[in-house]
Amino acid sequence: MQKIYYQAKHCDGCLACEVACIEKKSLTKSLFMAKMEQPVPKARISFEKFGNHYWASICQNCVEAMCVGACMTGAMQYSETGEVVHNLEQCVGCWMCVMVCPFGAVVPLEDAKKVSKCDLCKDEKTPPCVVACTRKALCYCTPEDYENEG
Amino acid sequence: MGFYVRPKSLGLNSKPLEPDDNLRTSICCLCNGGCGLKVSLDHEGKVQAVFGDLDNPYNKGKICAKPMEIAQTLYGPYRVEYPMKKVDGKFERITWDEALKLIAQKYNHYIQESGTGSIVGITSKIGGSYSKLAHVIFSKLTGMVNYGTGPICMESEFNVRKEIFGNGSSSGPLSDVVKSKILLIVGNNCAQTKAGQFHWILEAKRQGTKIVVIDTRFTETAQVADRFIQIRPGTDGALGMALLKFIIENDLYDQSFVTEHTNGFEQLAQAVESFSLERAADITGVPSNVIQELARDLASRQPGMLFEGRGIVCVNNAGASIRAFEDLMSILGNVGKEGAGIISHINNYGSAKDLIPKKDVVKSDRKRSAEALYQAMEEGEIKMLFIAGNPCVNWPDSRRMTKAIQGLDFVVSHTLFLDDSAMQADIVLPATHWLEEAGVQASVHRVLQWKDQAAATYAEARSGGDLFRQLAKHMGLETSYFPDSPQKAWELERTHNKSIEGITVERMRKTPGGVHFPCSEDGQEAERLYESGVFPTTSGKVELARANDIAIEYIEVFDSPGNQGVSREKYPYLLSTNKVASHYHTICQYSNWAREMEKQPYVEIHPQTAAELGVIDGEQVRLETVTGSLVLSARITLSVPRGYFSTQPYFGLHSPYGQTPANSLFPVAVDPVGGNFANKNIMCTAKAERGQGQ
Ligand code: SF4
Repeated sequence: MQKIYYQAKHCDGCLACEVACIEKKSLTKSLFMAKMEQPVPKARISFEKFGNHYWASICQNCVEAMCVGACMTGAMQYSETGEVVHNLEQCVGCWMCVMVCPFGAVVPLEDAKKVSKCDLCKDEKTPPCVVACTRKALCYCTPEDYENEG
Repeated sequence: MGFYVRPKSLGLNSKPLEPDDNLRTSICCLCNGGCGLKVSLDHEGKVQAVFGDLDNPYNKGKICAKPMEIAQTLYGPYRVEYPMKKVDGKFERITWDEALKLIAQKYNHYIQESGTGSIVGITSKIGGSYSKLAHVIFSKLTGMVNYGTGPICMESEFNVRKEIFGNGSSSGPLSDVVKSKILLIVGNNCAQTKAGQFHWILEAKRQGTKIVVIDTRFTETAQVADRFIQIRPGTDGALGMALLKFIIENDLYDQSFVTEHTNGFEQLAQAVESFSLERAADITGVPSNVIQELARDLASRQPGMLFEGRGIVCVNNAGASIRAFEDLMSILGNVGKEGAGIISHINNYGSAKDLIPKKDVVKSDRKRSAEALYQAMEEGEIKMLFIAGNPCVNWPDSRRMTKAIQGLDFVVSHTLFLDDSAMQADIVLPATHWLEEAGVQASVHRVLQWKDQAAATYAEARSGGDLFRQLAKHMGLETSYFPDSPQKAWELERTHNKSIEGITVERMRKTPGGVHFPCSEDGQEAERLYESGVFPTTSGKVELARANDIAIEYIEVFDSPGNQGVSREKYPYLLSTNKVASHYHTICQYSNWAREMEKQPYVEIHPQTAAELGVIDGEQVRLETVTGSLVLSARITLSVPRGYFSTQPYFGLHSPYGQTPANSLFPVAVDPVGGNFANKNIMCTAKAERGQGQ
């Protein structure tokens, strides 16, 4: 299973990944139009700044995920390959996953009163956020590769 | 179970939680869902995190956000640490002894000068079973009249059900839904309001129970239901009556149950006579074939259960709707069987009898309805008020309530937080939180569960149980009637109340999930009520009609109290408050996490109504009713019908939200049958508010 890894030391907070995510999650698939969509699409990756450092919140597809344990409807589940997947149709917006995620990676969709999270954009070869990251702070690889390459 | 962190609130620099290998078990005391909790403490005994208890057979580890948020507020800046007295408009620290002495002196003074009726309590948040019992004893000794959660939450539901079955409690446990064939959810968004227990309903759905949701809004519960029936606001009674008529006319009801166990069937048939499918379709906006299909479904899918919510209880014509649906369940024979009955968070196990000898009981010299309380306060008939709750936010016409409280001679608030009501008090007393008090907690599964004190008592906080005993001592009353610990309180209650006689603390501790009630001395517990077919009404049967022989009287929402005589031209829309998963009553508003989830209150508006008003998403809208106006930001959504506004009821001025309570917009109007205040379906108008704040 491949995951998105974040390395704070390479990040300069340009937010290109966030923009790429918004574009991808928009209905119109255009950044320009996305701003006019109702509701405005939300990125599944978010940043916080601490002094000179940035920290990204993105789903880590935990092996023992708190969100899966907390979900009362079974909308948050493990896929066959081990990723944590979210089924919007089963979601009733209790936002317990938002409460318990230790990475702050579950995104509440206020308008729909549901949640969403990074789904690794399986329809693409590489997730757009990773492609957008010119400084290689984000990488899309297996845990083993990540360990080896550091 | 992993360790619990909230990074957005904790930040990168926060220290990780110290592992606590010794998690304490507790029970959530918020919504009467009764979810089991695990509490992690730091070395000082302060709560550092709250989890769901995987070993609790009812919630199975699931909880909602509310207990976590509440635990977070325990050590926040709004928590009251020590007793305070207001001097020249400012609070000054005093000792418990000084406070109790002063209250006792005032109390005795007002009893002598103005009679027992000059002192009232608004006591919706009195505490756990220990505090409740001490409060009962204290009220008996002093003649204090109290207004609890009833008028603002479930008075109508309780009273109407009591008229019908002789007992206002829920008759079947929620856990029975998996055995029922159909579950009718009316005006209840339990996916948000009983989130920790909602998995039962989804499990039932997986096992083939048909879930039907009747609601005005396309709620989160409706989204996962098998069938959603969107109904015009305040017309549920008409739908219920049409279902009754169809079922009676087509002989779809349980005839043997009706003849053996009910009274008033003729009156019922007569009352619903004029509610043809067509007429109901006209009133409710639900097509007649949908009503017919639902009636057939209810008749063919047996057993069935009913789960009503505040959507039909806290309204100004609640009496008719509740009776229609509960009568419907009765004639279908959905009573006293496995997988049948009425689910509710009302868990009344009766009150303890003969706690104090007759000679010491003082009766209040005046009784007033909740509605009449306002005037009595304004006219100076009431001198002193004891608050354990937040009436300045959660009672209707909140601004009027606040003014009325300001005008009183002496106000005491026993509270967790320095909230809107405490700000009006002369004496503020710090209360213990339910995690800091042992006691019994009921649940929506009709069980009683024991919880020990989990967290260390905060600062100088005292429970209601201790407070009332000590106050009685200062007032020179007999204190030997008061229990001095939660365990002794339960022992006392148990030995004076037949319906819980067999439920000892020991037994509750030993039984995972708790013990069902009633439970007789020999230990026989009753999972559901009425299995014997005997009802605690005077006749021993289900009373399908009211005492005045009229079964159900349907009142149109525009002719109901609070709307009666209000101009439809001036106030063309309807306004309701509805609840969300991250808030509970008025207490979660002090939590940062709750604020992170619900950044600000908003009003939900249908796109067409928004277009009429000329507002777009996020713009400010001024809502106005006969009692005042309020500015909220608009959220445009298709989940509400046209001409209907929905907002959240939780927020107060003296909280991080700094928001005028939404209840200010609701007139003091009660359902004429059941006595509940209405916090839904009140006529309003709205306009765009440009360039101005509140
Ligand atoms: S559903 Fe109710 S009882 Fe359960 S955790 Fe939430 S507030 Fe507490």
